[in-house]
Amino acid sequence: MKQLLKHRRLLAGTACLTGVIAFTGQALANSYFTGQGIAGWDYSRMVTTAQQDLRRVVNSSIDKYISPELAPVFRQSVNDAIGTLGIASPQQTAENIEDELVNLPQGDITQAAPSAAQITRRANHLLIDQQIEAVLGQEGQSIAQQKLDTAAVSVNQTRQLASTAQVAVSTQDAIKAMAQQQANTSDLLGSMHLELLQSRQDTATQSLALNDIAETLDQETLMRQAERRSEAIAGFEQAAAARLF
Amino acid sequence: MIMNNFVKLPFYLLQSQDLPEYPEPLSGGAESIFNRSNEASQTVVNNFEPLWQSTIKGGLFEAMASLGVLIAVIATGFFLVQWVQQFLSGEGDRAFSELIWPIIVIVTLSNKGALLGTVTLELRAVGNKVNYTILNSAVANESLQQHHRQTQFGSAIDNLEAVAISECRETHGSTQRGRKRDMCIREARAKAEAERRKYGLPSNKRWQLPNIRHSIIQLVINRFLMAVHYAFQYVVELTLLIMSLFGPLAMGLSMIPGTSKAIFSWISNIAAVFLMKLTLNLVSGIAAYSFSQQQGFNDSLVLPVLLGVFSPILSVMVGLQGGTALFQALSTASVYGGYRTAARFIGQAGNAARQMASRRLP
Repeated sequence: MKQLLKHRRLLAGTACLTGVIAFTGQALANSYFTGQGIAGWDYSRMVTTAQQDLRRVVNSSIDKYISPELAPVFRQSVNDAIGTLGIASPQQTAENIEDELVNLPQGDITQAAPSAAQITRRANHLLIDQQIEAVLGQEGQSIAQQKLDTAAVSVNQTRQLASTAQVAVSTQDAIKAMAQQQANTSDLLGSMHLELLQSRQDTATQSLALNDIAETLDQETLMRQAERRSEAIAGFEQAAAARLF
Repeated sequence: MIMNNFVKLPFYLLQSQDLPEYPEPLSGGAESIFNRSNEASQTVVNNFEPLWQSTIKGGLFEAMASLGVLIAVIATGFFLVQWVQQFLSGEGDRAFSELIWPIIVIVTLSNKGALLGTVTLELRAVGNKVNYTILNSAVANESLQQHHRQTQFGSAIDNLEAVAISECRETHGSTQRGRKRDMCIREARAKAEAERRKYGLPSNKRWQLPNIRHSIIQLVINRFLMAVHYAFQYVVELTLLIMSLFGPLAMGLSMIPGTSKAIFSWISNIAAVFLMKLTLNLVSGIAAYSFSQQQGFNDSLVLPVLLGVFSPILSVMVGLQGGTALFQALSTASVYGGYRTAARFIGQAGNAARQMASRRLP
């Protein structure tokens, strides 16, 4: 008992530190696996908001780039393909667009058949653009900054607790070492978080470059097709006017 | 409305901040293109008749007739010198025969060249009649005109079909989309066949070849050569018109003494241009007929090269040779005819003089 009393401060400190570590670890784990942050950040809500923003921006892009008469068809095709995570399934989008195009009347040989593949590629470009915007855009950067700030707060709190443990009157070096190790782990987790965000941004940047390349190639193909078709139509006009006199 | 939007769809998808916009579709449909182009062409051809009428019976021809009269007056001096010289040197027969030319010039150029204008229009009418007969002459139950049009139109539909198939291959190029690509190609062929049926063209079996493609360069060359062919037709017609304006000048210059008269040269040239026109139409019609019999050969550049390059060259050569031959024939005939006319005139004049002298004798 005397021994116990002798070490009561140590026990109290250990209990306190264990609680802090448990809380911090749980909080960090929550922040990664459930989206619930330490300081009350609701990451699920943030993701949902971002998804709603994504959908809103996609619809806005459709309104901007697609003719008013066809925008509802296009929007319907994309929105019907949006899954529970708020991302449109490319395959589903393509199928929806094909279904919609089949319902439209077909033109004759002089008119370019609207290709579902082309339209789907355009839809995919739009979706990728908006996903990139969600990461690299101002809103995306703001969310990433908030996550970083939250992680930084968490790391600082762990460090402070570790410092408190170091200066506490204790003869148990092992406990001090544990506290220091926990602080190091917290640092590591924070660094990993930062790395993860940077990785997402790198991926988004690469996606942006690839999307630009793909879009340029698509545009060149369409331009070439339009030139060739216009040339053939001009030949058709010429032939229709052909007569010997 | 829906159809219009349907056509616009691919081009709206092209729209972005970095690309030129395509606010209007490239085509309003085959039928509208055909009707518009056909009417435009028919209008141009039909407008040649009023153009000829207004030119020959208008101020331009009158101005040229006035110039022809001026030249004739100047040439009359040379004519008189020559005529007097012939008369004084004892070539009375020839001098009398030459008197026919002032009469012809005065008659044709009087009233601002009205008679010459009428003769010119009649010459054109005769030439066009011959041309029309040739164009409507049947080869294998179809006129040359019809063969020519069908070949041109069939070739244009072939090109459109090739373009549509190329688009299918480019859009659904990957193996995963093979089924869609085949479906797209089948639809393109069906649309082309529908157009052929609509315009009474034979079906094309050529597209059963798997890897046939049309490049834009081939289309451009094809169109350019055919444009040369059509342009040459207009050039021939315009040449006829311009040459007809030089009739009064040729008539005025015909007063200059000599065996070869400018008016014969003018008539020969008019005939040469008509011969060019006939040759061009014959070559074009027969070539089109022979190509229409060769399914699978329409996409080559042989017919456009033949119609756009060799057909004009050939027609010019034939026209020039024919014109030269006609000029020589006319010159010879005119000299011979002149002598015959003069001899007859002189003989009649001598008889009349003898009769008058015998009446006066007591």
